[in-house]
Amino acid sequence: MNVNNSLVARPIPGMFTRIWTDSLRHWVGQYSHPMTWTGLGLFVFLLLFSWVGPLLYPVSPLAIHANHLLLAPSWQYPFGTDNLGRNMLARMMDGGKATLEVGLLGAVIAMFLGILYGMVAAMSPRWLDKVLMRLLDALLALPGIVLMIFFAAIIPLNTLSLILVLGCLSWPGLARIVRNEALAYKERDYVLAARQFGASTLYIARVHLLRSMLPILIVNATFMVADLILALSGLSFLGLGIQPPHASWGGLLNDGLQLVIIGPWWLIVFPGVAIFLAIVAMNVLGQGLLARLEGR
Amino acid sequence: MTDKALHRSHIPLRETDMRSDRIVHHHEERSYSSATTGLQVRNLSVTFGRGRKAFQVIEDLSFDIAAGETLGLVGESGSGKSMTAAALMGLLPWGGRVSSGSVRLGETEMTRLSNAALRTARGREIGMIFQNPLSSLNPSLTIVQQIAEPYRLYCGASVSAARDHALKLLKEVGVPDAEKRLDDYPHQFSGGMRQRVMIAMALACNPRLLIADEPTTALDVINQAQILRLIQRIQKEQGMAVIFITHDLSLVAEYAQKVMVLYAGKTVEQGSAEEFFQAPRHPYSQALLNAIPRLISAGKRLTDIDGLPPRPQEFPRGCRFAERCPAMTPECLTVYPERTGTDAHHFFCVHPVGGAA
Amino acid sequence: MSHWLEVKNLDVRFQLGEGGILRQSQGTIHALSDIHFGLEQGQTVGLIGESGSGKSTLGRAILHLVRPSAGEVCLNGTNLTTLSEKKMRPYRQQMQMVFQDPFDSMNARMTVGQIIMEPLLLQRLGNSSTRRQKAEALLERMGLDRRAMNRYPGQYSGGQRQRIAIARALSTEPQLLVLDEPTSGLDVSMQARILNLLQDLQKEMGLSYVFISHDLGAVSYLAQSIIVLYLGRIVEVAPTATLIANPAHPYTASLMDALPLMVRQNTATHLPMPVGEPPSPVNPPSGCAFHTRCPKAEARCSSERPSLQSLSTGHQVACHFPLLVRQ
Repeated sequence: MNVNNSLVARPIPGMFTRIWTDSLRHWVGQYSHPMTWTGLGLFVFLLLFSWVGPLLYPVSPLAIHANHLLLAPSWQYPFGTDNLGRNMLARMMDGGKATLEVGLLGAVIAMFLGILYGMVAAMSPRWLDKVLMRLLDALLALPGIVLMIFFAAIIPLNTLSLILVLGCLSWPGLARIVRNEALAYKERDYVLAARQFGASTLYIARVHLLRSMLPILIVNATFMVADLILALSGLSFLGLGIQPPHASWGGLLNDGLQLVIIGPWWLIVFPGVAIFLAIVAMNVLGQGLLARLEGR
Repeated sequence: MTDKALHRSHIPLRETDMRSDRIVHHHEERSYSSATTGLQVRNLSVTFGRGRKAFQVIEDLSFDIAAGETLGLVGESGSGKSMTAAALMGLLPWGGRVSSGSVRLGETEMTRLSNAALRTARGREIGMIFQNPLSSLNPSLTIVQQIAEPYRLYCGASVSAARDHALKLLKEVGVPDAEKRLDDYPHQFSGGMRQRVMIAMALACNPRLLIADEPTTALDVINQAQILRLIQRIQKEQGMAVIFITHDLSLVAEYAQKVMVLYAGKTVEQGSAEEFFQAPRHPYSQALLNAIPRLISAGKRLTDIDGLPPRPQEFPRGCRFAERCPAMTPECLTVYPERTGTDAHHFFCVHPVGGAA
Repeated sequence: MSHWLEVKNLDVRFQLGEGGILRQSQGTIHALSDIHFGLEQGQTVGLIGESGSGKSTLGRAILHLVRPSAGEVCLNGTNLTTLSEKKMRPYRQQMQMVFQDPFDSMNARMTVGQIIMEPLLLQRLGNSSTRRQKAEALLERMGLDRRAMNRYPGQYSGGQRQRIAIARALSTEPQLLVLDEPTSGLDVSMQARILNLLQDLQKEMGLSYVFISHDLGAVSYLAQSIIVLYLGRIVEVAPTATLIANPAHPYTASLMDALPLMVRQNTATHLPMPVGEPPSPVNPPSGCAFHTRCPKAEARCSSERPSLQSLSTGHQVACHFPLLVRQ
């Protein structure tokens, strides 16, 4: 259907690309929903696992069973036990809460700050934009993980503080993307047209620039969540993540890795798969949404 | 596939191809027997899809272009004129195929070539110029790379000979300071200069056929005149056949010897430019002519054609222009009009402008 | 004598390059110099020239989208150039623009309805139902189905989009439209449609147009008078009929000669075609800017800039050796 539409809808020279994009669009139209739903479904599954799971499987993640150390998965302990005899399934649910909370809420903060900073830079006069961008360069030059370690070392570590630290340190990359995109869209005729209609800077930023940037923002949001989950895992590696006795998935993976030479594969496989699934879910969701937005 | 393998393919090699280590001299006269050097297209149809979903986007086109002659291929967006060019080049988009007809370029039947042979034939025998030179030039290659590379590949020249050839071509198409600009990138050129570079690229292998697809639509009038006159001059010197695709009949009147007006994938009127412009017979041709604003219009209103052309899978049984035609009668909707007129000028209409013949 | 729209001695300059906080700018482009013309209500003035001639900049300067470095744009006696953006708002209602590229001039993520209603929304005119009614009425006037309201511009062809753009421009009931090459991307049949529509709208609503194009054929169809620009300066102004019958500047003549015979008819001047392309506006040639390409240039042209001189009523030319007036 779309292929034929294109024959009448546009000047000819673009026809080859049109037909190509149209068939791609057709493809996307068929498959975008499954992709969106797969990603979303997977993510919802992980959320349910972490929040509803403990209700269905009311076992303490902290209870130590000294005579059940390092047991392989069984009916009693579906995910096995760790070196302190704690139930891994319960610990995975507990860790999922911390991991996903930090990933999602941290990403919300980072997205907000990144968009705000990038937009302000793009809409301000040239000199201010320059100042803001130099400042951003300075921030980007500092390795994020070093800053995180610094902050994680001086503040009390709990889920809330980790959300704030990770969220507030992860936005500079996004800010640069937002600023560059906004500057590109600012040159479009429809922005000039809106100015001619008397639009304020705020209106242009909100309605035209943000709306045009939506696909890129969505993709970046999904990457951001994935990045933050990985960053949290990285901090956990250094012992600066969620503090014991609780642990994020990354922390569980780290604990498992220290013991893996003596054989308890379940200590790394379950957290590893969980992190992998969370990241895949976000990416598939992002791609699915992107495909739908682009395909319109 | 290597260069040597390309040479071994089934294309009849022209004289110029044999002297692979020398620069081809443009002004050299070729010997043609008029029947075999130009382009001959017979009953060309292009179909998309298969089985019950199949539909034709181009139906039953026939035309001849002798060497040194220009055919103006005219129609609105969606009339199938670019699709025709793609079919001639063997570059139809995915899903499309030449479902019937023959395309003879010189002595070669293009529709029967293998993919590899077609690629070589395309590189050597057909040059193409597109509307938007910026998107048809590779932004990451210098101009000399883009002109010399196909020449080296298809005409087997050495690197240094290809560079000399590129320089010569750039001078010929009127790029000032050609020596200095050889190693520039496309973005360093203005629109008009880019189109000249495109022409140089298209001419690199001294093609038999040049397809110019709306070559000046993106340019202003002075550039347009310069570019079209340039093509015309080079065509005269080299004896190329040219297909000039445009929506503007005023340009066809200026630069073409033959005219073919397409509407919704079919020819509506075709003939020598002289006879066509003296008395265009199809209401669509007439409407296209009267849509052109002239300098001395004396307040005469332009003809505008309401509506859009039909989509290929909704092509009507009768005359395809009927729905937008001012002269439409019920019979137009049911029967496709017969061909009327001579080989030199014919049309497909029951109610031609100026009364039935 | 003052005109309804009057442009007086307008200069527009652009700073070239980045021009950082501490660095000096790398140069100045004189995009427009000393532009002077007037337009009455219900009339059309055509601005013509090659790309880089400053014609689009002039259109934007009239609409206060580009800040002039000197001169005035007066509408009904009010000087717009000194107004703040806030005070400018009510005047924005009276002046609208139609852009060249209908694929770039509307946000692909807004529906056609949202696009047409946007100016009304921004000018806080009417309420949501009156805006909607108005947009639907405009769509119908443009010959488009009102179902278009909820569709996206991507579903429409170039000609249809340009009609949507005109509907948007007309939504605030402006008196002046700046048309920046509104037909240059369209087929001739679509161009004819748009030109006829613009002509009808002008008659119905008493609109004034500033019609910018490089195509003398299209401009002469709508405009009563034509201004020819070259490298940011006016080289010739004349009523359309006079200009076509007696182009006095060699540049004007070459613009006409470049047209196909069918369009220019018997107006050719048979001057040689100018060679090459317009020089860079960063370093414009001395004297008459056209002397580097002019077939009639003499020594004087490269040293002394010709000023606009009157040939007949309303016909002015900036040339030391204007072409002879034909009989």
